[in-house]
Amino acid sequence: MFNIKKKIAVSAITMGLVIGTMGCGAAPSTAQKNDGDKETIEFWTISLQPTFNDYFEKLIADFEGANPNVTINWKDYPKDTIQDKLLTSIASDNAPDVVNLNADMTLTLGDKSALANAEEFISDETKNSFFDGIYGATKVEDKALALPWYTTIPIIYINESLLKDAGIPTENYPTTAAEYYDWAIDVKKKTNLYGMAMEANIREILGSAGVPVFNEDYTELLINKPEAVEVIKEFQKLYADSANPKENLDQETRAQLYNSKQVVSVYSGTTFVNKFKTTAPDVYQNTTVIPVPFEHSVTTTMYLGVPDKSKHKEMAFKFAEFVSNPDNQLEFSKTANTIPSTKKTIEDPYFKESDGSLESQIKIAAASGLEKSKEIPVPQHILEKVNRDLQDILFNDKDVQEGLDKIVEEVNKQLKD
Amino acid sequence: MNRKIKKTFTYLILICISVIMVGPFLWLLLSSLLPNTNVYDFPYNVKLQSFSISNFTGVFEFVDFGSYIWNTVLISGASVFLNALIASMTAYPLAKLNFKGKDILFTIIISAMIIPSTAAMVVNYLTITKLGLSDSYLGVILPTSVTIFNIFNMRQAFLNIPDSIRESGRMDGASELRIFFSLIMPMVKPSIAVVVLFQFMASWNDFLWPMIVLNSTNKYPLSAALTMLNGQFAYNFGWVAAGTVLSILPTLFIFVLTQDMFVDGVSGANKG
Amino acid sequence: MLPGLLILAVFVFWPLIYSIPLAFTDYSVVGDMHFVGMKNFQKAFSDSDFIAALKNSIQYVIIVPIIQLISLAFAVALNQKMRGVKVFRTLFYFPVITSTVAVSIVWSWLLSSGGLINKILLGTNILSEKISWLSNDQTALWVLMFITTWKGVGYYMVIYLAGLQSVPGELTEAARIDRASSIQIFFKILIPMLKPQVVMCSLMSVMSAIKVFDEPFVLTKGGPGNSTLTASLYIYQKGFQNFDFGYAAALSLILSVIILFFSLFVKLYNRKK
Repeated sequence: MFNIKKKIAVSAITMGLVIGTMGCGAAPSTAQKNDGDKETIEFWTISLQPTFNDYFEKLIADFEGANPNVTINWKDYPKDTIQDKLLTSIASDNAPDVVNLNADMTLTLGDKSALANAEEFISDETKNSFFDGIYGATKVEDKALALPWYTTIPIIYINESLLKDAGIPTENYPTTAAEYYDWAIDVKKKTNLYGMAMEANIREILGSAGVPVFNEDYTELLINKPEAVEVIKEFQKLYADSANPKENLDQETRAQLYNSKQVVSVYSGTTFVNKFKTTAPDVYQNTTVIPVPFEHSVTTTMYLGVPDKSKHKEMAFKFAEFVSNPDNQLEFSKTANTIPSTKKTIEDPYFKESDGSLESQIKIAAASGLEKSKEIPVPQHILEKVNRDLQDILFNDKDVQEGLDKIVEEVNKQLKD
Repeated sequence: MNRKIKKTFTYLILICISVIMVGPFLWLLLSSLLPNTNVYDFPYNVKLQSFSISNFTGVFEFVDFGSYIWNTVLISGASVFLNALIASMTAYPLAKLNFKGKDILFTIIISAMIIPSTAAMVVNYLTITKLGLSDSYLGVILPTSVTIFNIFNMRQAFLNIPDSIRESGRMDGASELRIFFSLIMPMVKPSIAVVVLFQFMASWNDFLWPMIVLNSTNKYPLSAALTMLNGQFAYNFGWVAAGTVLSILPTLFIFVLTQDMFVDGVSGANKG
Repeated sequence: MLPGLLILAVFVFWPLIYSIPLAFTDYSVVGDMHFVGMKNFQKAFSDSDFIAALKNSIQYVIIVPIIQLISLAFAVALNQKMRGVKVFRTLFYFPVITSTVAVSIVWSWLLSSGGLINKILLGTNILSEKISWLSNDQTALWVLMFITTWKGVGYYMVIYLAGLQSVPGELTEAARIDRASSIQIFFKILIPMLKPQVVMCSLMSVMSAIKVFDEPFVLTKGGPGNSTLTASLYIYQKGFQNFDFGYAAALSLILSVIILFFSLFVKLYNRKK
């Protein structure tokens, strides 16, 4: 009944065949991509469906109307999976043509030469339309790895009712970093709540303070210089005084602390309001916002990159330029409450209009921070390590100079590899 | 009297453990049923009127729940069925038949459990595209249609069955296949129940692999669709909680269903 | 048997075979690939982060006997005929079905400095000041180990419950008549009868402990410092975040050798018994 030997032999041969057919490398399978003269551009975004379907359907229809031989194929993936999806698609030679990336990912992909150089394809007019601090951040060795798209600017959310309860004035909020730190310590003393919530990462702590983090080409980390040491020591004190919570402050944790009224002010982006508007209506009513009192507003920008393996680079960049042009960015800002990365867009009166809601306060505070905006990307391949080690120094009161020296040494070694 | 105290004590301990085990879920359930209440601000100032299913209806409006559930049932159902069948059929010869290299084969299979394969997802995706199965359910199901754990588990169950059963079947002139399906399989019901339960749970919750294989959002299983609730723009904690609660229910249902299969209640009972 | 082996061959063994040679390259999926010889392995042994990660992963194995004992005890306790036993079984299984994301939201909330756990410990005077459990380099890993145990016991309980069905009731009945205590019955009768299951579960448990990924991934990302960095998390970061698949493949191979060692230990230990 069971002729095992024979069956094993057969299965071994079949296995060999399967492996054999797969072993011959990734042969391009482009047959379905070209449909006569029509070019299909595959466009990937991060977590925008289904909320903004209407906006994108119109955007795509406009572009297709102007370029009749092009079809845009829009796909959307959640933040946590887009990277794996991108990796597998590049591996199987089905790379998308335009892909939504954050700055960290852009640098890491650029490091592996996986992105096309935008400078070769886009006009000078486009190049100059973006804020320099944002466009320049992903430019490495004169190669522009991606075009900036929508961005988020940090602001400070303050729960005023907690201040009132402790008799702290709800006006004349801090306008410099030093004032803000003192204020946070004072608030902690009077309310016995955390005065502020900033995460122990180089972007928020060192980037905001205006301390240079990297050299221009991201080949060297610079955070062991005296000015960096000073800022870190300042923060060690804030942690030691419990003015800032010793937590891994992702957006969810910030929301937990803010909603549970354990923290009086929170440093976060413009979309943070969604985390408490419906879940903590009481907090929403008592919240006010101020621009960040720091040297820089450290933006978190979404970029549009074109994989080097794309077969339609020219058209892909044309579409990326279209999506990120000032008019379309303005429209998107109005739809999604985001901040644009183009200089012209921000001059629109929309960014100064207020209807008295918290959302318009946020919009105005954020727009006012654009002048000092700066994108501070940390190549994804060293991001986690740097932040982990920085946390250790801050949370567990390690020696600052020694700790930073160690980070710099280890990371620079890794960057040179 | 002594017996009664002992009984009360047992129940007390069981209830305490239950609270620890279920507590986090209860909090999530509460969060999903209390829209417009600050669930982090404990203790709650909750009136009966605060309870509402609006988070659930919100989730239903945001994602097309019905069709996603159907997709998930299809994927999970096929995966569970294939695993129960293939794992048993693969494990049976490994446990009961005699052939050369049996132990080596089993050792090789088990050792694959040991080696963590970093590139597995990428390589499997390449295989799936080569087989022309990308964007298809078969592509989602095939790589998980039999797992080593399930083979391992079924083999263990077959080992416990005395050889005399097979002998008696053979004496009646039954074929090996018939012995397998009508004599052996009913005897390993508890282990099959475990396979069904675990495999259902695994494929019901898996979202990464389906998202890698499938290109069209409307083919997604529920777990993948629910990740849409986590975007920065659409974020609403109540919805996330409601989505999580909803996604747990089917697994719960399967647990209750299979429970009677893996716990006979007769042979295992030893005291009242 | 054939379809099963074929599927395993294609989707389990093929990726394994494929990734072994990768360990000697700088494969990144997205860029070009070069042969680099033993460089990845040399780098691994001087990589202090990887060494720390291995240490944490090995420390994680401590939970194996704890999980197995608790889940065995649960299985035996819930294998009795008593009112509501089905409900308890279901309740004990809840952590297994609660999704990892939900688990992380709830536990990080309970464990935060103002969270319920600190409130209880302060209220009962067990602690004199609150601890940020997940941000403290002394406590973070232990907390993750606790959460893994909490999430895992229900899983093994099910396997043991299924196993207990083949233990004849007369056996324990007879022992009880001989005035054996419950603890004696547990260790002298039930555990030996369940040996196949115990071996299987311990093996699985050892492997998943050394390979632990979900808990540090969603709760701490390995921090603060290296205190909760586990080998799998580090390998994932090297592969999927740094696109350094060659190095990740080399690290995987090293990890396999360690897991193999522990698995053999479990097998030998059980054989001796």
